[in-house]
Amino acid sequence: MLLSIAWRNIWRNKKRSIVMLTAIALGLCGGLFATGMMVGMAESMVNTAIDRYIGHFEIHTTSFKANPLVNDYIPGGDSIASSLKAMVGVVGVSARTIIEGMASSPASNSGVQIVGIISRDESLVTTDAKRVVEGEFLNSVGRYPVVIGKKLAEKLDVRVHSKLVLSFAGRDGSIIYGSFRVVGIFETESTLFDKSTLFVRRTDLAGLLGGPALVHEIAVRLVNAELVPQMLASVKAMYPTLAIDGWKDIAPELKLTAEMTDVSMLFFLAIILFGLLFGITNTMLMSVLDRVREFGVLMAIGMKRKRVFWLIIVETVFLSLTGAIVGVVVGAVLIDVTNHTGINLSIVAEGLTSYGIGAMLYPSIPATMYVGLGVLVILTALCAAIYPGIKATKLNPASSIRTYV
Amino acid sequence: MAIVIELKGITKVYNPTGIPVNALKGINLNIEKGEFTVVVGPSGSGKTTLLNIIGGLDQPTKGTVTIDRTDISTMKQDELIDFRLNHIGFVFQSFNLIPVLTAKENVEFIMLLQNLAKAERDQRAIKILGEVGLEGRLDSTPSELSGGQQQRVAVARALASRPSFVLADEPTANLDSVAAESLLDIMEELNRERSMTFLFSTHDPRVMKRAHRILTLEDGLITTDKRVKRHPR
Repeated sequence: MLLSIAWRNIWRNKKRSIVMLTAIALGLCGGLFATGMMVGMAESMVNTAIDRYIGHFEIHTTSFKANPLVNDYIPGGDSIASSLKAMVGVVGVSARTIIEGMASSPASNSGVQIVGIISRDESLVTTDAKRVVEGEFLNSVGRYPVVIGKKLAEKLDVRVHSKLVLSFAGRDGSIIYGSFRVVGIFETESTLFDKSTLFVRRTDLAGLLGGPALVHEIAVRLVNAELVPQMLASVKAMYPTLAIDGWKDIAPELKLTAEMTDVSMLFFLAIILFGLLFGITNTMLMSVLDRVREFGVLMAIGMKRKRVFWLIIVETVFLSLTGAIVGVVVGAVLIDVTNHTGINLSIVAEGLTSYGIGAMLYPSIPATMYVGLGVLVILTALCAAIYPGIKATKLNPASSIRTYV
Repeated sequence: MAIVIELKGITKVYNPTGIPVNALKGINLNIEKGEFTVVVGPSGSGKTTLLNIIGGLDQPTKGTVTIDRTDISTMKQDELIDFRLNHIGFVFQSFNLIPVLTAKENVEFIMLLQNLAKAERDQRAIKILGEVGLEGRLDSTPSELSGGQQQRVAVARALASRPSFVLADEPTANLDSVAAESLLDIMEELNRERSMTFLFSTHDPRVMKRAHRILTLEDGLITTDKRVKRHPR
């Protein structure tokens, strides 16, 4: 019955309760949506990086990342790639030749990472083939085709069919020059990537290096990111002498972004709830002051002060939870809808691409967030109720009974 | 008859502004079981203070208050709350029912505080409300009841805890004459049939007309203590 009394007491002053409920609901809904956007941005950064180049994990020699020399290739790289392709959970494997070099045009030149690929394999690991905005990806049968990023094309002032000279160190240290023709221009969410990476056929690079195709990097795409830890463990056991890194290790800034987003989420919502705390405390205090005589009577007829205190606590929790449920439901619907439709941020696209974030944002919130939020709401309600509850218990029944509000 | 309320040398001094005010000046009083007693007196006579002390809502500066052979003068707050719950029934001038509860729930509430089982609370509440003539209004909230009906619910609530006595502070002040007479009829009947002890504070001559004992309080002292022989109505 005390629960029933607490619930009914909330609705005695409908206007005041509705105002407070609306404030809680709006605060939480707004907080959730803003958090959803933060998470969506972080996920966009991670997913675009995975889609763009790194895949779910990569394999190199142990020294390659620190010092990418042309002779530091993975022995039996193609054979390893074939074995990986046969594993359950693997969607695609791309064995790449990676060489640091220079791209030159009549207008300019730029330091680049030359990535030699097998186009068919690469398209199973990354989505770069779908990012071509002019021309085509490396499907041409022509001589020495190259696909470059849009920012690089702008810098070198080249377009499709233009000639580019790529220069790089050969296996014996001599400088090798290759004349390539631009067959396609791609554009991704990362201006840095677009400026510094170009793709050629692996066989073309092998020809210029004068030997079989060298594999410096094996990129692997899985069915989903949840398989990464398990797959990493298996592959590390299979090839203990090689460096096998998941996306979090390849791009630690992404891992940091993901982790910071998790912390920021709860922190941000905690700040909103902290603000609401004062509103809830004020509302409950007014409610207590409105009912001074009633509390006096309750204590006079035999309701212990502890029970009066708990009545206030329960009323506060009910009020807060009701507002929270409304806010969370509305917020969840909003996030679900925008997660499907996306939010077009092309107005600030240039700024976003410098962080590797796409112009279409898809807000999302992990399910565990809602549990955390529920706990925070209850904690807030409990804190908000303490002062009004103590105020109620300190009333003198004799004088309170004679109070006329 | 057994003594229900015993006051010995009750003195109450208030000190609100640094100047002591002697509200009660050494009151001695015994009230027996089954008495229908009225306390009258002008404003400032100490009537409210006396009833607060008897009701365990205030404590005397000096003296002892014994209710049912238990000295409550030096009890702590929570002990007093417990004692009031189990020994004293209250009827207030402004009814003071819980507005969000129905008539039945208001009566059940006091038994809930006594931790009685639901079935017993239900049964007793229905019976007592029947005794006060409200068997047809069990599910009405206070806002749906007239003043007289609300006061009858208050009486039922006071009786539900099976107290040693009922303390009624100006119970008829907010009632019209018909409702007031009807309420007093019920209280007299309960007094007669159950030997329930009633202690009233009142200015209402209708209440005084029915009292068996009239105590007059003036300047913190009982100036008259008149016992009246009443014949059953």
